[in-house]
Amino acid sequence: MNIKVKDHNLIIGGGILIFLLLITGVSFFYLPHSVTEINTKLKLSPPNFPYLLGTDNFGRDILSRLMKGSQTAFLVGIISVGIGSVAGVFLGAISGYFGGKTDEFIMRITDAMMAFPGILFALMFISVFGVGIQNTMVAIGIMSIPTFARITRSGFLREKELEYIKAARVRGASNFRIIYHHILPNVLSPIIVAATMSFSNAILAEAALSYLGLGVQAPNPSWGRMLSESQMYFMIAPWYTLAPGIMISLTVLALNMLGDFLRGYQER
Amino acid sequence: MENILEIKNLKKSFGNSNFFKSKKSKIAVDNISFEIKKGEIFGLVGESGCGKSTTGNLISKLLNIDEGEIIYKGKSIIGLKGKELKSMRKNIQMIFQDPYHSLNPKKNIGWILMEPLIIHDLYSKDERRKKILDMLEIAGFDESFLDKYPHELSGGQRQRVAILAALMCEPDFVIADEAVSALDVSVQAQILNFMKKLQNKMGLTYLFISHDLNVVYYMCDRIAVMKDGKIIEIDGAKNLYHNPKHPYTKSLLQAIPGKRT
Amino acid sequence: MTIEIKNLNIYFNEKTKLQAVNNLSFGVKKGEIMGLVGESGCGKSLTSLAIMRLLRKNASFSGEINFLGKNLLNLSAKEMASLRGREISMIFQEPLTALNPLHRVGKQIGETLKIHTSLSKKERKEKTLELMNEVNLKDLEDTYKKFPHELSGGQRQRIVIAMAIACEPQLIIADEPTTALDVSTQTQIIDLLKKLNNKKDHSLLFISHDLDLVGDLCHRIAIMYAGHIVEVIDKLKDAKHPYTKCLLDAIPNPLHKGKDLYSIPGRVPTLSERKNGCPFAPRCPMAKDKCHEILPELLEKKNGHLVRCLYV
Repeated sequence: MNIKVKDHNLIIGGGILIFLLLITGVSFFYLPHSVTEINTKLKLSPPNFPYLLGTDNFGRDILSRLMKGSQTAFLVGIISVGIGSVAGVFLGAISGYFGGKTDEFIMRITDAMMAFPGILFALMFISVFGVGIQNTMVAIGIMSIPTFARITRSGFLREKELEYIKAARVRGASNFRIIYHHILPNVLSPIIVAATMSFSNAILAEAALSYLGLGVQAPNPSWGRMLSESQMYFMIAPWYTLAPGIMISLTVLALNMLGDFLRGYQER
Repeated sequence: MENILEIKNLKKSFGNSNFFKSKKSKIAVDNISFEIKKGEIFGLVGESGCGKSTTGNLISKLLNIDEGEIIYKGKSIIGLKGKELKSMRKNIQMIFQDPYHSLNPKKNIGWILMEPLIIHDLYSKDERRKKILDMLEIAGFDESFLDKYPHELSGGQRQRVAILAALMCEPDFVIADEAVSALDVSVQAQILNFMKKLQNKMGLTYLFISHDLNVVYYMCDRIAVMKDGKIIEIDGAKNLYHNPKHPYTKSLLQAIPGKRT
Repeated sequence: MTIEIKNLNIYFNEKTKLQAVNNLSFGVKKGEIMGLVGESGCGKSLTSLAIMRLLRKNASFSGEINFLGKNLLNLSAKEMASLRGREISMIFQEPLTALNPLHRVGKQIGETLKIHTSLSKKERKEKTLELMNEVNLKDLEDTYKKFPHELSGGQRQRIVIAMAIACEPQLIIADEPTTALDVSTQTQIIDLLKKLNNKKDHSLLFISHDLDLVGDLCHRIAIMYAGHIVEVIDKLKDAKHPYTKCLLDAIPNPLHKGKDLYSIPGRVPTLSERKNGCPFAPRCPMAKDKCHEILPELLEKKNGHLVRCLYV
């Protein structure tokens, strides 16, 4: 890789992300305090020692809840991007490669999906299948399918006409071989960029859904949920709102910066 | 010498099913017929749009014909599907024009040369590597080329790899579609010599498609001239070049810089 | 001399200073058609871009390009812009991309006139039709209104040529103008360029990789290899430099039938592979030890015949 000093996107974005991943990693082994233990005497206390970021309205340590919440955030990101990318790339690949009626059919479905506001779809999905983190992940995953499908499809349309594909066909390669070995490796770059952006969208979407009370359920911590619960206490305990708010912003910023870097890098 | 390939009354047109412009469909190949004898180099020459590349694509079955017959070694290949089609592909191969896009940029040379052997399940695993090394040697490459990627090679080297990849499964019949048109003169000479060497070594028959009459005259035993989808003259190379009969052939020959004075 | 290039050097990359064009010197006289021939990577296109000051930002250069008493390499962007299209014009290889697909072709020719002359709209249209006639286009009024994609390759290239001669330039640079065209169209375009050159007496720098074509059209031919001019001749049959002779031997012609073509061993060196001594030495069939150490000068052997070789 040819990284220059002016690649601030990579350095800052990557730096923040590494920091966040460290926090998440540590959280699996160590949390300063219990995440669920209620201690009404300590409720809404400002940052002090040993409660480094203060306590919430139930006296729970905000830092510990934040750290545990990061696990949720990244889990949601990974699973939903996983669902969206695998399904989306598959649909985009067969749509772009085979063309014709298959293409029309799949594209009309993705058009319909894109016409639907994402959060609204997630709301519908959850009201049908129930609240909780699993359904949240699936709903967000499904929301991101059209993006992956379109990017993959356009990559396939472009590469399909090139001579090395004709050469593969003439050699006797099966359609699967051409799709998987020949075209897919050559369209990965934009898909990876989309995955980074999708990841940050997923985290935001989870925060929004949890804020609305539909995602992660109490007493499990999630950044969005913490935002929601902290709202009414903002004037007297601003640290309670700021902590998850800043975490969400930092994560999304880092992911977007990385995405920008990757996009610029692939064009080089 | 028997005929390895016979084309009869081949027709192909491209329809324009465009909502806004209902143009007539364009006839790319208009009722052409010719035969190619085993072991010969048969040239198909004409200007852009004459249908020569389409003919090559029809024979290699990258495109489907509208009407007509293509007979390879006595059997029709028109309706082939599945296993029979794959088996045909082992015998009829193609080399393309653009060395910069005819190799998968993400795979190394070793993978590219191994692929035809895997597709057609040829040789045992140990024999495969030996076969690849043998072919590399004919092209003047050493073992280190196996790990190289296309972008590390020059245009001429890439074209040689593309030719090797086409010949890995030991076809009888190779279609060269403007195989040297995108190459510099000195590289072109290397590739033409290479192709002749391979023909001798492997007993190949070539269909050599090009717009360059000089190259076609040099390489080919017999030449067919195409214009607007039709074949207007077929003759032995020397005869065609020195005693052209059709006025169009004459005008093509006269347009060659250096031949006019 | 309409244009004289002296010791032109073109480098890429500030740090490693890879040299693409080495100490290039040649001139084109008034009314002369000069061919600049070479294979990919020899630097011929770069030279033409340098004359037009259209090199990319990462290219640096030194030397002089003297045109109409000025050194083009010293001119400001504004001064250069006023020369382009008016005193120096260029014809590119691919007419479809050289023309704006959204404007009618007549209007595009008119645009050149609008930028560089003070003709009225009516006068511009008249002049445009006149130019279209000069480049042998038919159905003038009809063609005037067409879009580039509605014309054939040959017609498009004629439009580009009309634009190039519109302001009666002193120098026209044609960079592979016929490579994308059919053989018969190519002949017509070459004949047109000859006719225009005869009539208007401008200088034409014709860049190509096709030796035969250049031999047919040009008064003088400069052959380039790996950033250097290796020979300058009037007629191809007089060629003495090993590279030129190898190239001529590599082009299939009727005499080659049945024999192997001469293929120069090895390949053109990339910018970072170039070493001291004669650039062609690593591949030259006649090379001796001295050739790898000393870079030969471009010396005049006979009238106007220049060769860069120690042993010719």
